[in-house]
Amino acid sequence: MTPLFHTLFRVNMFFLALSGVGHMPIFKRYYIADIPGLGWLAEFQVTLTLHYLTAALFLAMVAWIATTWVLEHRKSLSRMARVKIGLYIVVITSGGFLVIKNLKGIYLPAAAITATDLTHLAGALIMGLTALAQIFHEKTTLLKQ
Amino acid sequence: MNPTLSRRAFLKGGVATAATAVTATALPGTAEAADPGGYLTTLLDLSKCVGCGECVTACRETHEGDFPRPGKPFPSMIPNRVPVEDFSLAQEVEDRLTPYNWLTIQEAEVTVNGENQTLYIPRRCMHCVNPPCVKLCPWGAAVQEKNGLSRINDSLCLGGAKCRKACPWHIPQRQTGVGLYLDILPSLAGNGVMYKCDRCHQRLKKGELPACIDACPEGVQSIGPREEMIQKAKTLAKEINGYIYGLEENGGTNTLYVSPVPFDTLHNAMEKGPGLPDLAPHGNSMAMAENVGAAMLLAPLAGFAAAAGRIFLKLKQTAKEEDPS
Repeated sequence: MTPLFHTLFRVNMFFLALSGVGHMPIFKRYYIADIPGLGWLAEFQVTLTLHYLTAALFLAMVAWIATTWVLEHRKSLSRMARVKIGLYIVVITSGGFLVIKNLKGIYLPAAAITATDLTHLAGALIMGLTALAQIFHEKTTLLKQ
Repeated sequence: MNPTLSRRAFLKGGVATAATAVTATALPGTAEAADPGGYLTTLLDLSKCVGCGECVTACRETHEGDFPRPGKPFPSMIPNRVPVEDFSLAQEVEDRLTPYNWLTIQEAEVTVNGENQTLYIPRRCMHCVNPPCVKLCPWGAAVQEKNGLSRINDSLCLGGAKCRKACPWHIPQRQTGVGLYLDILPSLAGNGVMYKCDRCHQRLKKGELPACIDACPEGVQSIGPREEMIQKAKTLAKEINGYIYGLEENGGTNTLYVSPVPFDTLHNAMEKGPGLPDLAPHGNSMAMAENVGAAMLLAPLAGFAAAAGRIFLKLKQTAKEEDPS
């Protein structure tokens, strides 16, 4: 991964997560959408569009990383990398279901929709916590050195 | 560049990655394709409605057991700007949609064939073909059944009212002080339950007509598969030289109105406000999700193709450098 790719991936992930949280009606309730410049966080059509676009870029970048890894770098994965890959699979698969659900003329049983929504939300939350834990771990390791 | 990478390994890896990408996009195959042309649709002939209110009464009687019974006092809301919406002391209100009144009749004073006339318009959920209230609910509390009707699961709804904002007609109505949020974080998240017409899904399951259709003495409404009802609406509109609402509105609805006057005339003549839906020509609020959604499933293939292409070019370049002849 080049530094540019890395930065683009992180910025995209930030907006993907932010627009994802925006699907819940909380930014307005908790005054965040009142902050100048953040009013769009309370507009679900804007957050939905942004979530779709950033998800598309995320999927393309993940596919790019996976293909490059399979074809060029194949080496053993760390435990953290395996956890991350598992979370990516959960979030991407549940997200795929939700995108399909939103198409016209698609029927999904009510329980499946709720389970998919909660899986997507839980997967994304754990993914965020894992990223924070990794940053914390890297910082403390650096300090110890 | 991995020097040990052979053409065979490249192809093998490529096939494996492509298979993974295809599997990822095919996994949601458990979702079932429904036929919107067969969705259960109601047709309302507005030239027949006399505004007697029998449909409203029948709706209220049928759904009496579904109406909210909030406990008081309500939990204090944090922050306190979160609005309490309480209709429990206004349960008899019929002139607007409320959690206790899922069908209301609007009036419009218009001129029909040079004659002043009052048209009555029964209003409740339009049951959109691709309902944003269902598709955008963050908890899956709103559902669309196989026959196209949409309804809200009151045992799961947290009352965030996103469905009301997503609905072009702002149909669902909130009652504070009931529902699941009381058992989770009543002060911090949620605010009750949203209520709207469920097209009498329980009566339909028993083979009965929705109460409002059954009770109408004028035969204003008919019900059937959407394609059939569209044909019927077009024939009726031709007969009375009238207009149809619901064919394209919000991408198409499973409720069709036929009126002897244009709908913008009705829209301008009727009272609008909270609980009083308009008749404006709403565009498809799910258009982005429908158009971008289908294209988005191809994004992983684009990433795969870009990476594979880059590696292939590098391989080709390496081979050229190793064998300049």
